[in-house]
Amino acid sequence: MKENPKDTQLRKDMVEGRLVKDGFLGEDDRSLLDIVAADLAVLEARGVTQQQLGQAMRALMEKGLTGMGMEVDAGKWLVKTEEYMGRMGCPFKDGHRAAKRNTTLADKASGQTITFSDLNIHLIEKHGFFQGEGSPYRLEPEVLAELVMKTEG
Amino acid sequence: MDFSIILKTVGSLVMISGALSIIISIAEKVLNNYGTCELDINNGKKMLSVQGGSSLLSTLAGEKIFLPSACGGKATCGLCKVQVLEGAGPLLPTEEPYLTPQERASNTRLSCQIKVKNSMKLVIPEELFNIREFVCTVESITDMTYDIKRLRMKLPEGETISFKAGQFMQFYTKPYGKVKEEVFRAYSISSKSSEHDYVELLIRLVPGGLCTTYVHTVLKEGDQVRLSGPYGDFYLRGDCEELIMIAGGSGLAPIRSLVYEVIEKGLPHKMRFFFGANKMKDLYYMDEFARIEKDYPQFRFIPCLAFPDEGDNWTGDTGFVTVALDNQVDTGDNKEAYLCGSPGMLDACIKILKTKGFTDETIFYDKF
Repeated sequence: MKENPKDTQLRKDMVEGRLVKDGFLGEDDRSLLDIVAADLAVLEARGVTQQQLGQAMRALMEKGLTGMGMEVDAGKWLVKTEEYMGRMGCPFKDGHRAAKRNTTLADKASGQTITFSDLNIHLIEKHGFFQGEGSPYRLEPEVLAELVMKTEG
Repeated sequence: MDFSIILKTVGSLVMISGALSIIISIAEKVLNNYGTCELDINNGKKMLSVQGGSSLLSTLAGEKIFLPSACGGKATCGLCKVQVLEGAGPLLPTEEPYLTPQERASNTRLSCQIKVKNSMKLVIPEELFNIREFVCTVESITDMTYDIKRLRMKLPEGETISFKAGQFMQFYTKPYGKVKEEVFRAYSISSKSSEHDYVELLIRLVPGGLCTTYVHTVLKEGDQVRLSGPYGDFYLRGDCEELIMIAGGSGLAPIRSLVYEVIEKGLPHKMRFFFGANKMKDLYYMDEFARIEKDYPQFRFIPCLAFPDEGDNWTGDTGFVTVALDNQVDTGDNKEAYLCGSPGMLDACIKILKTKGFTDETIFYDKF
């Protein structure tokens, strides 16, 4: 899919070292539109919307916040939310400034962990952006879709 | 096909593309040459002649006028607002999300987004003219905890800084690793406002953070670093009898400076400082605050440990800082609250303070 000039500029700001140390794109050289479209197709195939994902992730983050940096029991998960001072601006420049927080979920049964930031929640919910392949903060849509099922199940 | 025809065709294409490149680069220089532009600041109080073509934020910085910014001009923080009465052109889509209807009505703009292309009329708060730039020498880097470092930086010989306790500086990194350009971030000053030739900052490592990674992994004692400041309206008002101070992590920085300011100026305020931490390993400056408490009866230090381990022999308050605050502060009457910490801690504490009768006018914190 051809990238429009605005997305080309956004891509420039998303490379490593511009807004965050590791960037948002990893090794991915696809256009932003292609990255978003491919990930949303994966979600759609699993019957989950980006808004549902965002809501589930936010609920877990808020649960984690109650632990003030320590693990909290959240049903199937152990949740830990760590906070830092300051905020991070959305790379899509929509005015959103996410709190600097990382939430880590540990599946009690398997021990599998997933970590996401408040900015991840916003990027998925509002922009359908799970980050490029190889980005350290990329979240796989199928893994997150499963997360929603676990949270709701 | 005749080989010479292929060569001629390729040669022609190379010549045409070369000519086009030259035309484009000449056009770029001509079209982007905005010449000298006049900046009229505060209705003629300050007039600047500047070369057009750069953002207003960087143009003003080049003239030693530093507007606050936390994202380095990438339109993600919205802090570099300035009133532009004339010459800014139409509002850009990248500015829109950061401006309230009132700000739009008053011609407030994001200075990092608008380019100086012609003469402009600006309104800049007078206090921003006091902000200066310093090239300092890192005298010491001290591990305060496993993830917080204290930077003590000496100002250039003969230069001094005046700031109000609670204010912050902008710290500029140099390019490193894959970070190809300078980055700057805001950090509260932790040193005493009476100390005019040094600045101390407390910097906690943020995973993936551009600036904190630089400080924690690249910066060395003896290095030269660039700072600008002081910025901010988080400073002592003191229109009360008692100051309730609350911090967590590196949020201790401005509170330390505030405590010393009250003591050194001989102000009469009582002070209670609630410092929240999860584990013993997160506590620091304990001896110093214990000493201040002993020497100055007007000051009480209340470290709160949420999760002490059995072997810690912890005898202080146990639980979240919000619990201690709720239990030990009865009312907001004749008190002001000064907070610095993570957004979640701020929100939780402000909620409690408001139930005690504190108001937006008596609660102070930095919003960066």
